[in-house]
Amino acid sequence: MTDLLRDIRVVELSDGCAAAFCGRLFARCGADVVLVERPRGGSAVRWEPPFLDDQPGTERGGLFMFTAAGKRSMTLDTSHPDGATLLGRLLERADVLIDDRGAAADTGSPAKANPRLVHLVFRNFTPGGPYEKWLAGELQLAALGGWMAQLGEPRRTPLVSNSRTMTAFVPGVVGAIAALAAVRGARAGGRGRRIDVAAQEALLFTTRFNETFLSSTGIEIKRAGDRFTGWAAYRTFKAADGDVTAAAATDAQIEKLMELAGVAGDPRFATRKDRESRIDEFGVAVGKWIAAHSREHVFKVCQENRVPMGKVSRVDEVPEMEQVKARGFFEQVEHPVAGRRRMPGGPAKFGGEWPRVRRPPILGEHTAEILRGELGCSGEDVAALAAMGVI
Amino acid sequence: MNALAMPLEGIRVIDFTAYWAGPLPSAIMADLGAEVIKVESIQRPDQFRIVAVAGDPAEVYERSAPFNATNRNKLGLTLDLTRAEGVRLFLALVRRSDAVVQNYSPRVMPQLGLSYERLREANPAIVLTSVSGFGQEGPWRDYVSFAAIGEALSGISGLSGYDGEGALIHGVGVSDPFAGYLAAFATLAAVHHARATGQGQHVDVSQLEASMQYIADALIECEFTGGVRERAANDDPAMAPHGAFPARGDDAWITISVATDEQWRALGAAMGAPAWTREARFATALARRHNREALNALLAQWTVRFDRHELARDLQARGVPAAPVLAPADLIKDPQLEAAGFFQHVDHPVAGRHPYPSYPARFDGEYPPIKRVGPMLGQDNRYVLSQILGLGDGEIARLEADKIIGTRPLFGGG
Repeated sequence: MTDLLRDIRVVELSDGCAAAFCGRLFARCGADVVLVERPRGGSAVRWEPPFLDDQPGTERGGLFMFTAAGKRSMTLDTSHPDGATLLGRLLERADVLIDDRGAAADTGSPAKANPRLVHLVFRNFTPGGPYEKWLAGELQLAALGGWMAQLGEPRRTPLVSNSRTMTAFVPGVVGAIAALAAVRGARAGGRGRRIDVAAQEALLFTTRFNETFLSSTGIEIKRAGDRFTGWAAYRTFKAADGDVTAAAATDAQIEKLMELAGVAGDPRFATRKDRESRIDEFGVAVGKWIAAHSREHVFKVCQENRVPMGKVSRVDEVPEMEQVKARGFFEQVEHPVAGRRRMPGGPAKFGGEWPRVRRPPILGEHTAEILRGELGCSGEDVAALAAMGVI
Repeated sequence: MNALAMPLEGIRVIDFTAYWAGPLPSAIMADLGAEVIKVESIQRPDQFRIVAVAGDPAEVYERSAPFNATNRNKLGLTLDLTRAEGVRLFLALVRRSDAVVQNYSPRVMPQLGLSYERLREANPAIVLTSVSGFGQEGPWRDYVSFAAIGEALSGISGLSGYDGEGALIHGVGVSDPFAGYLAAFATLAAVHHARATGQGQHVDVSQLEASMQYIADALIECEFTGGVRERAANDDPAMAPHGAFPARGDDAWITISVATDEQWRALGAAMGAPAWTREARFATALARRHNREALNALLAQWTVRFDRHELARDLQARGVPAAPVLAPADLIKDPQLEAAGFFQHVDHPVAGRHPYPSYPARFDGEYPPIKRVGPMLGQDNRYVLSQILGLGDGEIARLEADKIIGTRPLFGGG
């Protein structure tokens, strides 16, 4: 039983990956998520790369297919008066409105029609501050959200990772948690809430409380390249066929690593203090053993001896790793255009099972079903709306 | 219900966690109004109290900023779970709770006599959320993981670094919060279901699988195009310039990204339209992308003359996406965050008064309040044992004498 949220109705108006990932989490857990899209072109997420065979198209966007899995799609021009009315009716029966398009402006205040509605709004910055009107892509949000200062070599160019979704999904999940909590509050006898999530703040919350640490200790944590500053064995090493990452924290773990590397008992590294004061020498000594072996070998031998070690995987290796296969994390999705595709799953296993596999909708696939079956429109109404370009 | 009531009031969560990935989801639930009881023991306090702070553990265990921040709004209970009495009390709490969140290796809970089956016998509606490195089953289930290992194996490290160079480690430790966030959502979903049906659930979240979800674009690209994405510094597949450029001062940087020809012209105008900006090799988006190395070098010669904050303001006013790279010392006094009231200043009896980041979601305009940080070891023993479990004073005194509970850690095998 993985449809845990099957009694929750969500309406999503999204052009960005944060809102889309938020909606995905609800849909994956069984909520009814209606994605309201523009009649022409649909949600902007449909036009985010990667595309099937590098060919853009309404039904060819990989990120759309991932984020929209299990949602229903309804086209609606919400700026048209009839479209706004229909959106209002949709919201009367919804628990959550996920919104990064400023939908409140189209419908007046959604909360008036439905006091139990949780209205979740995504923005880059909290209104009222100096950055409110700033243009911000991924780099600007990562810079202002404290991420870039934490990736890169000291004093060299600060970096973001080469994945747009890594930063984009963070506000999405932050908002999803808040909205689901608010639904619980509304069900427990409260009312709906307006929830505002700013991407800058969501990213900053994800940086391990570095400002509290600075205030408490006077120490500012910044990027340290391939290691954590001051830790002898929390760093990457070069193996014969690529990189591995050690995260040995306790003395027992580090001593075991030294034993595996054939430097057990080396008087230069007898104590933690010795190792930390000769941190580069220590790296050379342990690194010699690692460099002589494959990533897989180092990873396995260390882990079988309870030394925290990981191999740095290329993205094409990830789905083939034995643990990933054994757990069945990737799923096969049948799609009318893309065919049978291997997609990442998630968010979690419930009672030993992943949520059931559902495909993303074709643009407007559920428009008629929702208008006629749920919003009380006649066949004639639907035809008229289509003729006016509202759907 | 008054206007300020937080949405999860009435939900009780037992937190049996350490470090960051496990304590984070229950901290979020505590921020949102749940009553969260953090269970440690005087024999084995959360190691985050010790590893994240310099000094003698016996002196500093209440001073760890990461511990105090990650366990805000929680109650503190000690229980020695290696003894039957501790386990009995834990199960008594399970009977009165909605969820248990734990992040020990998959062997630990069953070894303590606290398997999901035992918990379910005590309370069929209980949700047990396990946050681990690799999940509750499979060949790697007992392997040891910290954030950087989840990043390495998931593919994140393969995407993090300079073009053609080796893997780097995120100072942020991203796979911990990535897992923590999904665990919070999944726990709430299971609690929602349990409240409706009376049926609990074992929720299984791993750092490895959580991290893979956040790099969906790279994983899907591989499947959809056959392309294997690698480390590429700050390059973007479509935009150039797109990067961080040096500004005036020590380790000062400004990000600039240009998506349209209009933004490119505005950037050129900001520079005073030097001749190089009009060269054919930078005339179109594709040309700029091809020649991005030269472009980045020329742009850096210009940006390095300016203050990063002033330059960002100037470029933004001209319609060019730009922002200073902010480090903790900047963020703690960032005017945008100050205007929002994002940091809450909270007192702690030992650690003093410090700024703590709010949960980044405002409810009707307000961040969830941080009523207190910590907790101190065992500080709510009496409240939990007498008010929730109904124990008398004599019984509580006996538990203390037997060291089942306490408030001072027994470092060095006491």
